[in-house]
Amino acid sequence: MKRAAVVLAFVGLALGAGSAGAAATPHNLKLGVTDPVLTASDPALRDEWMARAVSARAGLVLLGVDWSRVAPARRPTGFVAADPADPAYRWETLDGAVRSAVAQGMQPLLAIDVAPAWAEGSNRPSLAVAPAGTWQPQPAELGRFAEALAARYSGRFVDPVNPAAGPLPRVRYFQIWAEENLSVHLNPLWEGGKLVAPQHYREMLNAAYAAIHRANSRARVIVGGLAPYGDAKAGGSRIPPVWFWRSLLCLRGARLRPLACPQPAHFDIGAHNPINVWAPSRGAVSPLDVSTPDIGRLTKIIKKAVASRRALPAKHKPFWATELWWDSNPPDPQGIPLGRHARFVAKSLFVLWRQGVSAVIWWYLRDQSPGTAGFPATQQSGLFFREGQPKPALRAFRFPFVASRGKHGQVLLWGKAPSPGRLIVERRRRRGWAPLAHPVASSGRIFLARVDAAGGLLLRARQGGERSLSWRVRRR
Amino acid sequence: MRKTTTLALLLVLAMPLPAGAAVRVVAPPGNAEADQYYQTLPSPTGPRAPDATKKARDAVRDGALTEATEQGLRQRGPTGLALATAVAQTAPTGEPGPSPAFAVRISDEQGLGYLFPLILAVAAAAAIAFAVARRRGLVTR
Repeated sequence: MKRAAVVLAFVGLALGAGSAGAAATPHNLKLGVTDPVLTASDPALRDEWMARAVSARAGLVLLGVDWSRVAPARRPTGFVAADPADPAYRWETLDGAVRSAVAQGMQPLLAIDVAPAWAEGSNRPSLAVAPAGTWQPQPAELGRFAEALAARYSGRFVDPVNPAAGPLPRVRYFQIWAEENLSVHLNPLWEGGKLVAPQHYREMLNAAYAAIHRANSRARVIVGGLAPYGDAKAGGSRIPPVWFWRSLLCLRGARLRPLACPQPAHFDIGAHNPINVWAPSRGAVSPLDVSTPDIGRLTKIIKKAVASRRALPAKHKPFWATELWWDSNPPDPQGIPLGRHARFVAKSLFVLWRQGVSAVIWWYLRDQSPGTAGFPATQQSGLFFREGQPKPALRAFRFPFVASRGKHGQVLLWGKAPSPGRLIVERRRRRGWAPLAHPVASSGRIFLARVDAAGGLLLRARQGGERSLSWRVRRR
Repeated sequence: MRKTTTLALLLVLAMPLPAGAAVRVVAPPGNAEADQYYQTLPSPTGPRAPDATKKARDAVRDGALTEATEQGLRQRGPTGLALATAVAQTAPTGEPGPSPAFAVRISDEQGLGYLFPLILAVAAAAAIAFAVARRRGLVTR
């Protein structure tokens, strides 16, 4: 009830009382994509797909930084881990991807994951128990690597191997690890029945935060997005995200009572991976899990932590969704149909935006090849089919538009237009489309309006020559 | 009147829930990493896995409960939550059985099976009939 009231109040504030088509300036929503092909070693293939990311209007591109591949497999004598020019590092592929993304007008987000063996903790169990790169990544070593990474992409670094290319571009966003609530990414999660991963991750995060800001004061450090579902039992391989965040931020129980916290977590942006087993509006069953419409469960914890100085710097933390996807059919026979896939894209962006999320990364740009592993073991969530043909979801991502009927019969219209300024929302009539409303998109291209319109409706938004997908609104 | 009907329906819905409900698991459709992104759900119906059907996958849009109704139930605390889950999970299917990728793990505990939705339907019909009869004055306090 409280959440619904907050959402209603927020929408009401944003709309202004009784206005049709008018709205206060809505907050922005950055859209981004990620895909292994964007860090492909083949520059031609990488650039081809970077261009497709631009065509999807992605402003952000998440590039995975596999620490174990960039760093040497064995720590050589004289290796200076914090030096971006140390010859033992292998930056070529990442350099190419960063240069390509920036040249095409996108902002890279560098997401660090997978420690090299020499940077893992002692007493390592077998790889069957803890996958490579997940066993107690050493915070001090992570800090040194993060410093090298941030210095390399500070906008001032000229690669001594290739000085003619000029300075490497500046990168603003760095994400520290991924889904650290899962044992496939971080170990151990538990020790003797006690939750230990959040405390260890806090040390990793703080080491990386200090190092990145030392190298690039304007950088922004993003918490690794957690997986949405966990096992609410000691010793499980998946920690529920609400448990993880409470422990990370030294808050206890549902009442979020502050605990002693000698080294509070430092970060600039909160993040989560709100992958959903159902439709975008449908939340997780357990109150400890966090799916697409449940972001408030985490932002509430962060707000409390900021207020009690358990999250530093003690100021507002933007919140991002750093992994979101549904597989489509075709090509995956077990995926959802293409039309629904496209609607889920638009609807999920709206559901996240209205909860205050300010960036969403769609995962992936391109369908993966099923190969010998088959469809169930690969991702077919692309905005494009593998061969490069667009799916309907691409149109929903380029020009998301959602319409839904509110409690009082009015129709809420939301979207992200191709450009700022006026657009037309059209209604399907017997003889074609007729204008219904003329909302104005903000400088961040977001528009929000409500109109009075009875009966069942088929609506679409149009700006210039570009049209959104149509959206059906049920009769009152 | 509407409130009475809803309460009666909720009461009847609550009755068939067994004490030791089975646990079922749902992963995203066509999931690439089903071992990571599955959600554990309480269920009164044992090994049946209607989650794999179109209706259960898309319960918000096409399912047995509208979004508003589901939200209302969820706001009624743990009992409402359990009811919302039970109704969504027992919606009639109309499509062939579960896919191995979608229904990842299902407990082998036996529940009420197809008897459960039948009980729900009969109970709902009885509640509505009772409400209508009261309105027409056929039933007095």
